[in-house]
Amino acid sequence: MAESIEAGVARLPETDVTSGALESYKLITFLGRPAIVLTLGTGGGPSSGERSHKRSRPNDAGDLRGGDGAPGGIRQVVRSMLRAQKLGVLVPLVYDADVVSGVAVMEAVAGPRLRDLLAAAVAGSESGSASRPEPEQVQEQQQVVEPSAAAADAAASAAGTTASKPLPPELDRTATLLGRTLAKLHDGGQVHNNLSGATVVLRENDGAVVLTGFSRSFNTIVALDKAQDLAALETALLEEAAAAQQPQRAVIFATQVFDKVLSSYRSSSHLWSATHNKLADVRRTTGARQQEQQHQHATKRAKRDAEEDAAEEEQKEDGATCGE
Amino acid sequence: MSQSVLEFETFPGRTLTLALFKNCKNSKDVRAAIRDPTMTEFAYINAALIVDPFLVHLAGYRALAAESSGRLNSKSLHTELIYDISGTRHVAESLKRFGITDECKSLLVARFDCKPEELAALKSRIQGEEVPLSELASLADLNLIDKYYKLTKAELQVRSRADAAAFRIGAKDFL
Repeated sequence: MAESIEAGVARLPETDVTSGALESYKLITFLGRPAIVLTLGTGGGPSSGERSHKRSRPNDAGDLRGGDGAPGGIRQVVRSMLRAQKLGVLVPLVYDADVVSGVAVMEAVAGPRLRDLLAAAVAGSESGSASRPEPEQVQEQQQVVEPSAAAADAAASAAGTTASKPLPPELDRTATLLGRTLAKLHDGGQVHNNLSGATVVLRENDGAVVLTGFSRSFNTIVALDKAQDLAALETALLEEAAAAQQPQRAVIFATQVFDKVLSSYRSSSHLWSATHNKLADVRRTTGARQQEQQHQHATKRAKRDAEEDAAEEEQKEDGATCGE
Repeated sequence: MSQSVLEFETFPGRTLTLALFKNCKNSKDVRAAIRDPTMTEFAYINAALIVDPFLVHLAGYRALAAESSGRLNSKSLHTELIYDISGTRHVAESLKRFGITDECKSLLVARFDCKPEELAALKSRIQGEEVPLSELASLADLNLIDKYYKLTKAELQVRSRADAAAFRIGAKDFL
C-alpha cells in the first residue's frame, strides 16, 4: 500500500513541488522543514537501484547521465547549485547529499512555477476583449505567408499588435526578476541549460525567483552557450504555450514574458553584446528547425490523407464492380 | 528553559540537547575537562561561529547518519558533530576552528541523548551565564563566519547566513 502511494507520488512529474529533470522524488519533513528527497544517480553508472521507481526522462530532454557532456549525477548537480548560489542566484538549499547513494535532500520551495503563472494569466484573460481580434489575424497571416509559419514569427507579429496590452503584474515582475537572475548566472560563468516554465519557481512568501533542475547545468564563458540557454527558455515557453488550452493567447503571453526577460537581462548583464549577437543566430536556427519540423509534419499528414483518399477510391470502385 | 532538545525524523528516539553560555570565564578549564575520561562527553562549540541552531541540528543529523553507516570521519560522535558543523572536509581544521579555545567567551554545548543530571553536572563546571538559544545570533562573529564558510557578498544579498551556511554543510561531500 505504502509502496504504491510512494510510487504514485514519484510518478507525478510536478505537483507544487520543484523538480526539473529528476528520476524520482519524495516530499518529507526534514528537521522540521519541508524538503524533497531526490535520487539523482551517482553519475557515470546505472542509477542507484533502491529508490528510483522509474527511469529518467526520455533522452530528448537531455541525458541525465551526461549525454550532453555534463558529468551528470549528484556530484554535478550539487556543485552546480552551489556555484549558482555563490553568485547570488536563488536555488533550493541542499540540506544533505550522499555521494555513495546519489540521494539528496533539498529545500522544498513552495510556490507556483512560471508555467502555472502563465496558465493562470491565459485563463484570466478570458474576459479581455483586446486579445480576441489578434488570433484571427495570426491565423490569416499563417496561411498567407507560408503553410507552416514558426510559432515565433506568428507570435512576434501578434505581439506587435498587442504591445499595448501589458502583462499581469505578477508575470511582469517574475519576468523581470528572471532576467536579472539569468544575467547574474551567465555573467558568473554558468548556464542552466534546462530552463523552462517548469524549472522557474516563484517563491510563495516573497515572490522571489528560484531556479531548479540543475542536472544539465555547466560552467562556461562562451557567449553561444548563454545564448542557447536563453533561446531554449524561449522555445520551452512557446512549446508549452502551443500545447496549452488556448494556444494563440498562451503564445502571446509566452512571447511577452520572454521579451520582458530579455530586456531585463539586457539591462542587468555586463556581457550583453556578445550574447546578443549569438542569440540572433540561435533563434534563427531554432526557428528554422521548428519550421522544418512543422513542414515535415504537414507533409506527412498530407501524404497520409492522400493515401486514405486513394484507399477510399479503390473501395468505391470495388463496390461499384461488385454491385454490377 | 534555555536549553533546547532537538529530534530527528529519521532517527527516532535520538535527541540532541543544546545549551548556550556567554561571558564564560573558565574556557581553559572546560577544555581541560574535555580530556577528563570521567566527564560525560559533550561537544563544545565556539558559539561565535554559529548563527542559527538549525545548523547544529543539521550537523547532528549528519553525525548520526555517519555513525549509523559506520562512516565516522572522527573519533567519536561528538567530535563528529563539530566536524559536521564546519564547511570543510578538513577534520583537524574543523575541530580547531569550531571547537572552543582558551579565550572563547561564548560556548555552545551539545550532547546526544543527554540525561538531565549530565547537563546539570556540566553546567556546574562552566563559569558563565546561561542564555536562551535565541541569543546565538547576537553572539555571532559575522566576519569570521563568512570567512570560514566562504560566503560571498552576492550570496548574502539574497540568502540569510544561516541558509548559506546550511548549504555548505549539506553539500560538504562535494566541495
